[in-house]
Amino acid sequence: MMPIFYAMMLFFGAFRGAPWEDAFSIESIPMPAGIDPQIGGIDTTPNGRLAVCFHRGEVMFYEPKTNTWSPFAEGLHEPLGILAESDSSLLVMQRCELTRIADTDGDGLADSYETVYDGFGMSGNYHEFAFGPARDRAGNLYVALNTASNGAGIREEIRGPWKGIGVDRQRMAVRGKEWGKVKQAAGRMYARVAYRGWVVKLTPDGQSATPFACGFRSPDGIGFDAEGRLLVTDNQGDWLGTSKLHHVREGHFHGHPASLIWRSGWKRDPLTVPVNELDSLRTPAMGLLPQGELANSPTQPIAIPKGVFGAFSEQTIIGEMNQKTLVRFLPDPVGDVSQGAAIPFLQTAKLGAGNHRLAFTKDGSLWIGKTHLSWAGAEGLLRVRMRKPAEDLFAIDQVKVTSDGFRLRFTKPVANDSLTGLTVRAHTYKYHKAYGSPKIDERAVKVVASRLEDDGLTLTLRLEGLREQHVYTMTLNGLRSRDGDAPLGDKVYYTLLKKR
Amino acid sequence: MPRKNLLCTTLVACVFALGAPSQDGKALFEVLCSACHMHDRMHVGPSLVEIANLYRDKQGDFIKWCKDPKQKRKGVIQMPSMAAVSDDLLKSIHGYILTSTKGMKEVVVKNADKFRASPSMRKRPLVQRLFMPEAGPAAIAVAVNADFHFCFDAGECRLRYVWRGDFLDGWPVWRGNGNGLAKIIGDVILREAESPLPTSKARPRKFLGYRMRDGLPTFRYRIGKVVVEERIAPGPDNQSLSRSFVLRGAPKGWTFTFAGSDHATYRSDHGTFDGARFTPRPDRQAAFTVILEHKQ
Repeated sequence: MMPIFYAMMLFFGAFRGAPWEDAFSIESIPMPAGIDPQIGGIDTTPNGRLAVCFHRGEVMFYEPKTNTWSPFAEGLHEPLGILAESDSSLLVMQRCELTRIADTDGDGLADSYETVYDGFGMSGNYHEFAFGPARDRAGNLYVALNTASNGAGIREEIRGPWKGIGVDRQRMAVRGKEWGKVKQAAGRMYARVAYRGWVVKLTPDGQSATPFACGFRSPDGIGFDAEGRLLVTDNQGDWLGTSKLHHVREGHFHGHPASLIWRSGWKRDPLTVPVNELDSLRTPAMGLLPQGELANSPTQPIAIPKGVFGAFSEQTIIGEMNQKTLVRFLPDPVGDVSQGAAIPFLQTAKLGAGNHRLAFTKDGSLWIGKTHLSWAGAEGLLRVRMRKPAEDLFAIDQVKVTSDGFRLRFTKPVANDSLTGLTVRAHTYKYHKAYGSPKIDERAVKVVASRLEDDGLTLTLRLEGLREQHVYTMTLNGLRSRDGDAPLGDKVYYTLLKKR
Repeated sequence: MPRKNLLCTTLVACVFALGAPSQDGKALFEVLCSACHMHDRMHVGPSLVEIANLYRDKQGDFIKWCKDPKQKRKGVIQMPSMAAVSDDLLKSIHGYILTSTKGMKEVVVKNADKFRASPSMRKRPLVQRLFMPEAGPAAIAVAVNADFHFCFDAGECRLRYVWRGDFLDGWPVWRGNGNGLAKIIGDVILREAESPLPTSKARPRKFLGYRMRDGLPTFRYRIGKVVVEERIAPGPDNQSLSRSFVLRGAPKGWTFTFAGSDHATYRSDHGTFDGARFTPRPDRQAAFTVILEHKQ
């Protein structure tokens, strides 16, 4: 049985990758010599170069026209995000601060490192990464701050105030065997220095900072979609049964309780708050990204620019560390409830893992910077270009919930006889302090009726017992367009919070 | 066409086999464990070869460990609990670990920094922000030249210490996710317990960044309303450093404390020392330099 199984795996892999590799070329870019090639951030400059920051703090420009790297800045502390303000000025989020790095004398090298925002705490815990910045249409900046992990304690010296509420700072600084006795005190991921687990909003000049929304655990990805929604990804772990995509709104609590401690007027240890109370406080995720199937560790969301990647133009794609795929997200808000469908994107072995930071250049190339930081992942930089005519891409274009099912729209007419492999399953996850969650309430869902419009572009599914607060996994095995194409993404993971 | 149909049927069967919930240990391993465990070598956690040796006849202990893991290894993060995974699934993972490592040997990975000698790391002068010992978490290490180095604390806006030697080993920080401190290479010749400037709670400190000139940073920070520029550069000879301050908005009559150490002393032409207390000349109150000399 096993050899057959492996043969099937290979076959399956080839089958999966084929439509993607027909539609897109994936090219690995040679890295600059002598640089640890783990990429923390990338962005495009107005003059068409890529600004790239690396694990040990170097910032370099890559010129796609000549395939050359040139140094710009160095010495940053684990930079994990970059935003190019101009050809000569970059905003870079380091562990310790948001910094404006600029070349003011025109020699091509940075000479000014200006601290824009360092008004957040650092306990010295390794997991206190800092992400961003994302910029809204008005020019405000948003950064996201990781919580600390009880994989380790804190440093004796910290930056900023400590909010104990039952957790003693000196005890949290013990090391070695002693740490084992202390480590449960603050929870698996903790936020006892300022604004850990928060998204902080800065005015365009960076002079004024407002804690904007909380409830995040490990919000590696922060960005805006084409419609102006602030999106943040968060990583499976304690209080997250699976990884999530959040639509972040001011004042909302997004589910991981550690950060509640920094809410104005908050006086309780978040660990003592009953789960049902936390559940009533939280804004559920816009997208649940099933662990192990779609995403284990999602990264940056980015809007595909207008006119790029054909039918995918202005849609959102998201990086992913562990799975060899990106995620495409199609929002389907109902009233003020944000929800939608996640679909694999570029799901091919050639993509590899570690897909951390994304940027587009004006020529329509997608650039993917990779990292691992000793976890699962990879290194280096990829360039992805569409090689099929835009009108020839076959994919799911839109997913809408109805009162009793879903309506799927396709970019090209669907072959009527290719829908027999359709299956639908539903499940959800536990909301609890334990790490991750198995799928619960999992079941096959009966498709009561399925109707493909005459034009072949819209498929309406009527399902038995459509339930809110569940993820619906629609698998379209064998789906083909009328002109014989396999789809770019044949699985839809729809997070249903509210029916129409 | 019949061939194509057969192909399609096979493909659909494949997809079905994988799409359905699987009890297969390999698939479970890939989803749940492969982020941190490799077959033949230490990764984030130990290799499957090592785990197989530890738990070959101890499936129960394996399950127990997965559900309630402890920290055993120094410098290795603790595994998250797999309590959400059922015993049956953990059993199939155990089975997979045993079968997939048959005949496999542990590959000892040399834990070495392959970029240690790269030009970007060996460049002098060099500014490097990373977790440093004996400093707050927002530390900045600076190699002034091939010999003298210092650690500035951006959180506290002050010099922490000066050392001589071969700068630092950042590998404990860079090898992973930052769970370590850099090691200084060489001997500390000066530690400062406080800022030399007249700081107090009434004068909050705020780090403003730095500007680079000749490869060295000029730090900028505020103490209350006073904007300070501080720069540490090679001194007049190869046994010293020159430490310069430019103050904007400082009240007249400010004095400064440069305590020195058993191994290093301060001197200056820009004012007078009374023990550790330094009073700049009237024409040097807004801009003065002190020389830190290493006594060998």
